[in-house]
Amino acid sequence: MFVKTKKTKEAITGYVFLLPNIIGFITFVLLPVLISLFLSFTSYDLFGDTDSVAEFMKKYFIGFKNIYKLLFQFDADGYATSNILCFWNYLGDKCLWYFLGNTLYFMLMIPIGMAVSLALALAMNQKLKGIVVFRTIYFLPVISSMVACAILWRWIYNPEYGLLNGILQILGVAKENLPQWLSSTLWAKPAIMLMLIWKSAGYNMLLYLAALQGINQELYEAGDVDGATSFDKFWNITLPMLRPVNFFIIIMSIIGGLQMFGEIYVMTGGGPGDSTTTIVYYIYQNAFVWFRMGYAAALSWVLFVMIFSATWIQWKYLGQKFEI
Amino acid sequence: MAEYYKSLKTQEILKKIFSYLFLIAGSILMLAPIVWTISTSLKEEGSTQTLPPEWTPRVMLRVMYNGKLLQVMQSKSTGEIYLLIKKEKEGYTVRKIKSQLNVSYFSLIRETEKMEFRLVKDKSRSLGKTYLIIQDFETTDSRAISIAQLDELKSLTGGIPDKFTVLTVKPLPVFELDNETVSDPLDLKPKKVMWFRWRNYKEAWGVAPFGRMYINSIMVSLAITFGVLFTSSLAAYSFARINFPGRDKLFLLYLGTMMIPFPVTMIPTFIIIEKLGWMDTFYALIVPGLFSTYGVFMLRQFFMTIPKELEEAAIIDGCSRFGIYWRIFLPLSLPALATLGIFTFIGTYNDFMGPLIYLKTESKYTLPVGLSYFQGQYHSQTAYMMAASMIVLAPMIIVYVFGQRFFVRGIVMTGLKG
Repeated sequence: MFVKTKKTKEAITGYVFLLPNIIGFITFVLLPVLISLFLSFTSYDLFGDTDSVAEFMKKYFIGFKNIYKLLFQFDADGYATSNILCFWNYLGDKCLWYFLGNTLYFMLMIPIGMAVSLALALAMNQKLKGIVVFRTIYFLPVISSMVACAILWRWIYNPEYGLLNGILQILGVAKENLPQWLSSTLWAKPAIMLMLIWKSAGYNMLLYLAALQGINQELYEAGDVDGATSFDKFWNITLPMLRPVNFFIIIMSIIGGLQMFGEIYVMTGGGPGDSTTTIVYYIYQNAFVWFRMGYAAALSWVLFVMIFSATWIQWKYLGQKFEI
Repeated sequence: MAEYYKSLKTQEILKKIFSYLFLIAGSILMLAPIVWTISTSLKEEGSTQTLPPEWTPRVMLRVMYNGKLLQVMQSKSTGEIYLLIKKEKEGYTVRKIKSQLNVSYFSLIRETEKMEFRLVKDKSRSLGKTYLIIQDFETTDSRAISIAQLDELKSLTGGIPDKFTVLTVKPLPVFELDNETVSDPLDLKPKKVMWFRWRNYKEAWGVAPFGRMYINSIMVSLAITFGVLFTSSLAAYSFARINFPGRDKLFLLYLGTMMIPFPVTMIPTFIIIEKLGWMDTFYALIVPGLFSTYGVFMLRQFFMTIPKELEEAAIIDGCSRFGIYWRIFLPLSLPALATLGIFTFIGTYNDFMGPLIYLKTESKYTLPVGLSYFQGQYHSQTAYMMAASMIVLAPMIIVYVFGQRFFVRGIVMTGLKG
């Protein structure tokens, strides 16, 4: 009897401790997830209040139509994308597939950024003096506001008077050959990628540095005894030992990369000609510009499926292989 | 063998030199955008658009001569300084300045609403005479700078002149001039002097309510930070140390939702906020931000590492659960709490989407969304834009530079545990 009351008391204490968090968790995480799932089967538009659930269902419930539209047949009511003549013309919401392509293009920066960060971390791992100064400088963009950084880079990319084209001109690039950066469909994506590499290099560098410092020095000493060259040691000791942190960075970068929004909003507004519109930007437009809440919810679940499968595949094939 | 070690040592030194060069080059690339922003923010609007890019803010020098405002030009080939008298088709009529002006040092002595007075030293003369530069903000040409010899001014006005005395004193020419000649316009370029236009900051601050935005941003960020620390640590303690039915399943649910991207919950949260009547209020920003599943996860992992014996001893001493949480777990996990706090603060201070969706009134804007709005209105005024960006960036940079140890430790900790 005593034991039981003690257990109950313990359980009550547990729930009480959990209470402040779980209220929020239910209201702002769990409930929204369920509502979102429900909304993706409706054509809810935020206007027109209904009195009862039945009335709501009658007015807005459209079943799998959103998903069907999205995957098989979508007429972009009034919203014209650029003339994309490609296979995705036959794949439902052309915009979605095109914007997915944009998002994947942006993700090309992940390996480039990782290489930059790793190179920096390797240089910093040489037990140099003044490392704090370098660390501070490289990490500075990470803590900076994305909006401010985007504005600052817009000025750098200014085709006429920006810093970048100024430097290119000094280097001898003819005026008519200068890239138009953010106002060119060809260069807008690389421009945003460069800015994001600048912004995130410091973060990944720190992760790499911590991992490098965690590698057992005896491994290198053993390598020296066996007469290994620097390259051998890098290839056969450093890289394998960095697998866990590589894995972490790849997963986090892909999850983050699939959700790009703020930088796009401030730097290009999705343009020119939709060439920098990402999936989340498209969801934002659907929900808060055109008020197609139901369709936007369906899109967001498509995004969830993508993120989930990307993570799952990596976990399954990379994570297990590297015994994480 | 000795030689082998010697070569090994040279190799080490070479490696270090190479690393330094690489890191320095990288640092220059990292800092260039920020330095460029600061430089642009101190330029006059008219001189932001220069080719090739100029790193130091400079203005074109104009001087008062015989009651007229004249532009100072420099010859590209000889470097001689001219006063531009007249622009004509066949060439510019100029007068060479015999004694060259080499302005090097500025110090602000007085600033009024309409005028700014700066002391300037002329280094080219052995005596290093001091001049007074007056910038008149009211004239249509804001570059109007007149130079008068201070020694003579002093004798005329008896001390540092104020606005009115300067205006009544006829500005004196400070150089000897040659006779008029005609010069090739292509050979001439405007002579520029370094001039930091700090007023850009003042004016940018004046056109948008940045003071208000600072208060909003800091208020919202602090509220969320302390809220997250409180709710997360309580829940984390419960998950880590208290036995209750369904605990592990609930924790799995928490972990599972961390995978869900924010756009999924964004739309329903918007609807919930709307139904609660919180649109355009700070509740819309603060309340949903108070509950971090990530914070719970991170703190739980940290709490698990605290030895159980401490807790058992406290229970024997009759300490309550809350007492244990408050007196043992919180003090012991200060580093973890600091990390979570710092990252929550940075995240909310820089958050853009929330304020963008929920706020409508300008006086409620936080810094990022205010800056974005500012950009929409003043995008053609580059100097203002850059000053505004610096206003937003500066506090975080300053806090970071002084407290960077905490930031770095936090990154490493979250990276390895997350």
